Amino acid sequence: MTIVEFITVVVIALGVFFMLLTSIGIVRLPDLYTRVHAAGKASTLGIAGVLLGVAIYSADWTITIKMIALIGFFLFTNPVAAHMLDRAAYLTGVKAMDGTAPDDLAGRYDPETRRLR
Amino acid sequence: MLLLNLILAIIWMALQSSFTVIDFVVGFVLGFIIIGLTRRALEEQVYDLEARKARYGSNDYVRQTYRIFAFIVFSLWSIIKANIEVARIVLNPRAKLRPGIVAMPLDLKSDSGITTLANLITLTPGTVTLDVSSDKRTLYMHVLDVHDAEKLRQDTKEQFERRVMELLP
Repeated sequence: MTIVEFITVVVIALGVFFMLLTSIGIVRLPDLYTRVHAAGKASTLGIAGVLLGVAIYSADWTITIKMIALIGFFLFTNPVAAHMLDRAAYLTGVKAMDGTAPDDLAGRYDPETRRLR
Repeated sequence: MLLLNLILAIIWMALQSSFTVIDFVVGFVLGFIIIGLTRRALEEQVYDLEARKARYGSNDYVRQTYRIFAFIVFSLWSIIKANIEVARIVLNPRAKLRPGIVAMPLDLKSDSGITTLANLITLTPGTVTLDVSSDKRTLYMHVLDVHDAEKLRQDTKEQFERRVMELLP
């Protein structure tokens, strides 16, 4: 095994580990809002790890650049997806787990127009 | 805008890794469609940029590049820290969570700055952005573990907002 192959295996394994962590998190965490934490963070790094592995392994530099660009796009778009999930859940009244202590957002939405005051 | 369209066409060719006339035409048409779809957001960006220039003067190119680079390194480091924390919470069966939704007043003015900050908050330890108020003065975030809401606001402001402020006030 060459050094490049070794690094590739380590990076992809880390990526897959974080994706597994996302799945475990989605099953184990108590409510939607905490699950979004797992889905929004760990899956981003998981995908980034796998793509980085491909970038390191591939001998073709155009593929390397594409993979790095893809990592950038994921870093931009994944948080937006997480944010939209959370917001849609809050607007449709998904209950947070018991003991969700300060809720500064309570009563801040206009129930008619759904605009945040 | 024409320049942007040309750049998009060149990026398309680079991603196709074939530099023929047909690829250029296809890239140019696709770029044109993208610009058409995102016109409103693009115009706001240009307006933002000009307002920034008028207010703060144009930036030193070298220093700005250094700042952007430092910001990217800081973001990546924060993302890795966030993931270790998520791993700790997910894998520890008796982790006690005290989630909550915390409001944070914003000093940032520009849309692009607020978007960057919101993304950064989502990708960093323990917080996910929920929403920004219509007047763009308050940001609401869901926090996994609220020990001290006031301290959290302070930390987020000092660590993240200050850095974004340097780039996109």
